Amino acid sequence: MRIALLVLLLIASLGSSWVATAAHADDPPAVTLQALPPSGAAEGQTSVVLSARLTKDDTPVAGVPITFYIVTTVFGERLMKVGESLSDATGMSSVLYRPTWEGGHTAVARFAGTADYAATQASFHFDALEAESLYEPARFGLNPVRQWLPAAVGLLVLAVWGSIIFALLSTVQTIRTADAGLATTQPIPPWQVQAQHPAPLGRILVALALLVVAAAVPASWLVGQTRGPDDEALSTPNAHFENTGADGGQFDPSQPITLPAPESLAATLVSFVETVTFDDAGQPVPGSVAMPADVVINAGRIRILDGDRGRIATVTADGKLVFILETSVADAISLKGAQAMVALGDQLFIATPEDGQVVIVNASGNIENAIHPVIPEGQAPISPAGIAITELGEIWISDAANHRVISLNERGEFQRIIGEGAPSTSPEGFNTPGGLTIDGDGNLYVADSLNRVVKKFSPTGVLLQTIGAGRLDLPTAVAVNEQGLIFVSDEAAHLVSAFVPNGGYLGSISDERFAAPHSLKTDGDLLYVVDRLAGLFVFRPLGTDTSGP
Amino acid sequence: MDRPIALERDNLQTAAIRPIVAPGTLFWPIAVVLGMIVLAGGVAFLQQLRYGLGVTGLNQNVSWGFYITDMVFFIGVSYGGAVTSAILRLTNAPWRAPMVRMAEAMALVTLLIGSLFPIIDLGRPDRMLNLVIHGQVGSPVVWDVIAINTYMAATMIFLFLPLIPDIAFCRDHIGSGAGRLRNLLYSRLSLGWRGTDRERNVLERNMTIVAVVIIPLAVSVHSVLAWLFGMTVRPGWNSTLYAPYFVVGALYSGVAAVILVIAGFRRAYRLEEYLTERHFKYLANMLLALAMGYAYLMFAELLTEGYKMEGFGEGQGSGALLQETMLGRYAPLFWGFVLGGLALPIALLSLPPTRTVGWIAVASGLVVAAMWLKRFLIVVPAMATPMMPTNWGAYWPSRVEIAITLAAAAAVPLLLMLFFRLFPIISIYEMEELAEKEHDTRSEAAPAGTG
Repeated sequence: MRIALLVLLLIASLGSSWVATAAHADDPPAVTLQALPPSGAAEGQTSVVLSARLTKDDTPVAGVPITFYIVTTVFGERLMKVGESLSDATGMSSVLYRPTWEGGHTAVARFAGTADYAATQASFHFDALEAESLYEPARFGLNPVRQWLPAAVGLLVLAVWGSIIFALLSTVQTIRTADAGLATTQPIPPWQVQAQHPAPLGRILVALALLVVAAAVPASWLVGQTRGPDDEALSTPNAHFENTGADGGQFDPSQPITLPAPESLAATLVSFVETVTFDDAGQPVPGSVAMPADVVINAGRIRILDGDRGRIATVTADGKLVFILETSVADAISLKGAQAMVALGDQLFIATPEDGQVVIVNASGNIENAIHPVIPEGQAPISPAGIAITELGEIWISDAANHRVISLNERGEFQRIIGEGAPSTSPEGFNTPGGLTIDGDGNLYVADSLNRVVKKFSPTGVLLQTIGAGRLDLPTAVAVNEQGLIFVSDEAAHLVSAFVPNGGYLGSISDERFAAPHSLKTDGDLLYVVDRLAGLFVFRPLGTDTSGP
Repeated sequence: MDRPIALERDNLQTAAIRPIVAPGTLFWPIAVVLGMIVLAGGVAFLQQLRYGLGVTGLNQNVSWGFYITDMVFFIGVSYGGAVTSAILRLTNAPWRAPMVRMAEAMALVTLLIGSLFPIIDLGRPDRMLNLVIHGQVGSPVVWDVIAINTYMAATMIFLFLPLIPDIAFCRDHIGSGAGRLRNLLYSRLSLGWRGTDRERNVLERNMTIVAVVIIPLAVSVHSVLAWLFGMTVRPGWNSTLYAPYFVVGALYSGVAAVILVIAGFRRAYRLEEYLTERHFKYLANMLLALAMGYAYLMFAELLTEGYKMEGFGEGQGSGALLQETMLGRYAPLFWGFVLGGLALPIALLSLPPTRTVGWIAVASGLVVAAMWLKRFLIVVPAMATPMMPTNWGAYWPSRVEIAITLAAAAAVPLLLMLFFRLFPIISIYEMEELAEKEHDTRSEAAPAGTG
């Protein structure tokens, strides 16, 4: 029994050692691949040597293929094969790489393994200072062809003209020099044309007179186009441009102006919210607002309008953005392209480009209603750039494309129109009106962007004051605080300028991060400024004496 | 039994100059009504001159509207008339003779009207001069001006050359009874034509030269017009397909307009003997083939854009444009075109019971109207679609634009009526040439002794 047990143990130990030996035989010995990064790229050096050494127990492994790759991020991270070479007697393998971009590179050297050696790989980083141009000019470039193309087409056109003029002139010449005696055509048979005398001159004149009289009817209809009674009440977009401003019609908004140096207005930056952050690839990270359009304070929260993506974000206590409403262009009601937002009570009113539709959103971010402007016949659709709302619910919208400011009732019916419907420097005309606001007395302030002023109107639409002439370059929005101070965002000057109630210049707030201060709102002693490219700034202006200079 | 050629000639000559000598009682009332519409358009243009483009519905986003639509449409119609005539002339199609005059006159008239629209659209016509003073060779607008003017000259000569013998006919036979002015006109424009063999040979040769030149010229005009759109990066326009798309579209509307014109004058001046149902059936076949071709190109364009739907999610680009055109605010116009401009005409032109003169004219009327609509759909929605996620544009034509467009539409029949009040409506010269050739062929084919 014992002997049998020993025999069994012996067989088992022999079998296991055979299995172990067999398993070891299938697993080739491990090798080491040592990456040898380029020693350092130099200026003007457009090629880099990628090298690696393969060893086994510090003994060079020769004659095996090593493949080199570069990590690229085109369509996701992947390996781009550079080349393959056999290791030499020292185990070294090298390939030449011509970088196609400048800067950081990651190279991978890979040994795929053989029956004698296990597979392995190593990677290393290097910087390329020079890159090879990806564009390889063709042997015969298109540019010379492009240069001669007009001449070739010109010749072709001349040839066409030559052909048709030849056809005409040779016909004329032939007919004029033809000999009547050579006529061989069949004579036209005797034939009596029953010719009627043409209409006598008198009949033609009568017909013409009738024509003129008859045309007077549609003519008068047409004259109504710009001289109709409606024009008295409602300035139409078809009104002609009368540049009757104080500049004598010489004002040209496209010409740059030189503003006097701004006087600094002391203001404490309470907080700054960077509305957009970018990933390594330079793309805005999800949740960013790449170009904020407007800001309001609603239900104690800061709301930011992201017109580009049709969203409204709220700013959390830690400065993060949380979206309370997201719409897309496919939705029945979309905020896509919206540029202006205002708050009344707990509600937000957003003017959208969809024919000036005003969307009403509650504090929870739910769309409650939409007011569709009832556009009178002959009036152009509204292209809103600013919105303000009175305590009584009268909605003012600036119609930038049509250079007017319109008030609507809750049914969307036009109440009042200020502006001429065309660019104008006249006292009650606008050139691309932007942001609007209403002060405590119900007066309306309009940022008249390309006229470079802010205009103040009474609640009935009478011009009271022109503010900021010579101090503003491109006013895009206006806000008035409880003290009556007027703040104007100036995108071109990269400033927020402040004016006292009588219109006197108080000073300007600046920040080195200002790139395009676009819209602003006041709340208590705080001033909220949305910069299209930088983010949201919250200032507390200091020492704002309202008596003015 | 065949009628003697002399009798045929007598009838032909009477028919050809009927609008000159006996225009009918409805001529002046119709001319006055059309003239009134044209005059109203003139008043509208003066209104625009006085107040500027502010009286139109054009705006910052949509700066091309009715006027550019009209330009593309009328020049397209012109192209169809000229090419139809030129191809039939070059292929020596014998049935062409009674209708080429109308096709060529229509080509010229619509071209004259269409070429006015870029000037009207400028708002400041005096600024046309800037194209001469500051024109850039690389600008498709400059190419367009050169192409249209070259084409216009060729169209005038194409119409004028075969007209010379007919003017000579008028000079010899109705000149004295036509009044001093018309007599002078016939005498000057006939250039002293006597109908010698040499004159005829030179005329035939030169007509062939112009017919050869005018086909590529017309193709180039409409291609250049298409490139005005296609060379921009605007979604919907930036397409390599645009040139052939425009050319086929132009032929489609042009052939339809030719059918309408000859159907109208055939009925007004009792030309049934010369413009038979056979002519309409041949033209209907051409129209049907063009309808199929245009439908195919439109499908290819829509499929390419619809497959990509670029910018759809962002509310911009060709994806959004396609959405707006097919299912959005332009959907009634788009489907109106598909139904009225393709489906119905194809059905009317294909089904045997509706291949009659009346129904072919109805189908052509539908095609002409729908092709104007199609041009509007090409021009306006693309301009209204934002290239960036900003405001969508909107366009609604003003009374001024509507009046000018109606005036242009009325000017076509009016100018044709006035033209045929002066010149024969059927080419007597070409009809006689064909009749003589036919007579010679018959004589040669007839056995001796049978006369």
